[in-house]
Amino acid sequence: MNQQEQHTVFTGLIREYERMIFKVCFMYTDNPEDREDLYQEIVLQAWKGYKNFRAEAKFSTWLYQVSLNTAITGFKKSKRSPLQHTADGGVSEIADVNDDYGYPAQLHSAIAQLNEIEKAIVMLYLDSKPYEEMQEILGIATGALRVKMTRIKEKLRTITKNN
Amino acid sequence: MELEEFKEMYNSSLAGALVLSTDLNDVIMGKSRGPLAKLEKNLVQLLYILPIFIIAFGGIVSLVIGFGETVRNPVFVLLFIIFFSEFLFSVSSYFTVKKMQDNIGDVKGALINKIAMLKRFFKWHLIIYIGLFLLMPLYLELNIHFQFTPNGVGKINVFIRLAWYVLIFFPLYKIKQEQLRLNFTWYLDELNGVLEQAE
Repeated sequence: MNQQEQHTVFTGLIREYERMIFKVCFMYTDNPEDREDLYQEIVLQAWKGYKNFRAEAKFSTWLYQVSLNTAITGFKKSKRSPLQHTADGGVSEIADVNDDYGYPAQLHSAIAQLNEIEKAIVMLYLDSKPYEEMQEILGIATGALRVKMTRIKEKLRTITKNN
Repeated sequence: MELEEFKEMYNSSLAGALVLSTDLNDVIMGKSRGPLAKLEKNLVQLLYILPIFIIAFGGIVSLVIGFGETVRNPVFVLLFIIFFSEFLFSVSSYFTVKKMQDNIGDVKGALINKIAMLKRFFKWHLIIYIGLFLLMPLYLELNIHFQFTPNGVGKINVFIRLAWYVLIFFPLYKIKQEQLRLNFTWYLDELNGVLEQAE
C-alpha cells in the first residue's frame, strides 16, 4: 500500500471511529479547547503509529490503546478545570460543561473524581467492552479489572449520593 | 445513581455531537502540540549550542592567539567540556523524548516502558555529569601542575583551590538538577503515579 492509499484508508478509519476518540477526549478533558487539542494529538499519534499497525489486531482495540496512552501519558491537562474539588473529595460546583454535546453533566462530574486508570476502565465498561478486550487495551489482568470495577462502582455510588 | 443507568445515558449521549471543524489532513500533516513535542523542540535548539560555541568562540580566540594555543587554553578547554557534556545530555534527552512520544501498546506496558526509559536516561545523565565534574578539577590540577607551577599559581593552598572548585561546580550541578526536574522528574513522578493506579 503506498502512502496515498494508506492516508485514504487511515482517514476513513478515523471517521468511522471518531466517536470513540471523542469519548476519550470527553473523559480526560474539561473544556472545549483541551478537548480539540487532545483529539488532534490522538489522531496525529495514531497516524504516526499506523505504519506499524498489523491487521491481526482489531483496529478499535489498537486505536483505544493509542488514544488512552496519549490522553494519560502524552498530554498535559490544562488547569482550567471547571470542577472545583473540595478537601473532603467532593465537588463544590457541578459545572454544566457539556450540555452542548448532550453529555450528562452528572456523569461527567462523578467520573471526573476518578483517577486516570479508573476513568479508562469505566469508559471501556460503558462501551460494553468484554474484560478480555479491556485487558488487551489496558494491560491489566481480567481478575484485577473485575476487582477494580467493583470498587469503582462503589466509589461512583458514594459520589453520586453525596451530590 | 448506578453505573448501569450511566451506561444508558452514556450510549445515548454524543450521538449527534461529532461535527468536526478540523480537517483530518491538516491534523496528520501538522505537528504535535503535546508537552513532549515542545520539549523535543527545545532540545533541538540546545543541540546548536556546541557547534556555535566552537565556531564562534574558538574561531575568535584562534584568530587572536593561534589555534595551537586555543586548544591548550584552560578556559577554552573547560568551556568545551561543559558544552560537550551539555551536547551529550541534549542528544540523550532528545532520543528519550522521541521514544517517549511513542504511544503504541497496552496502557500499563507503555507506562512501564516509559518509566524504564526515563530511569535509564537518569542513570546516563548521572554518569555523564559525574564524569564531567571529575574531569574538570582533574584537568585544572594537571594544568596548574604542568603549566603554572613555575609562575607560582600552583602554590595556591589546596583548600582554597578546593573551595574554588566547589563554588564553581556546585551551582553548575544545582542548575543541571533544576533543569532535569523541570523537564523530566515531574513526568517520571506522574508516570509512577499512574502506574500505581494500574497495579
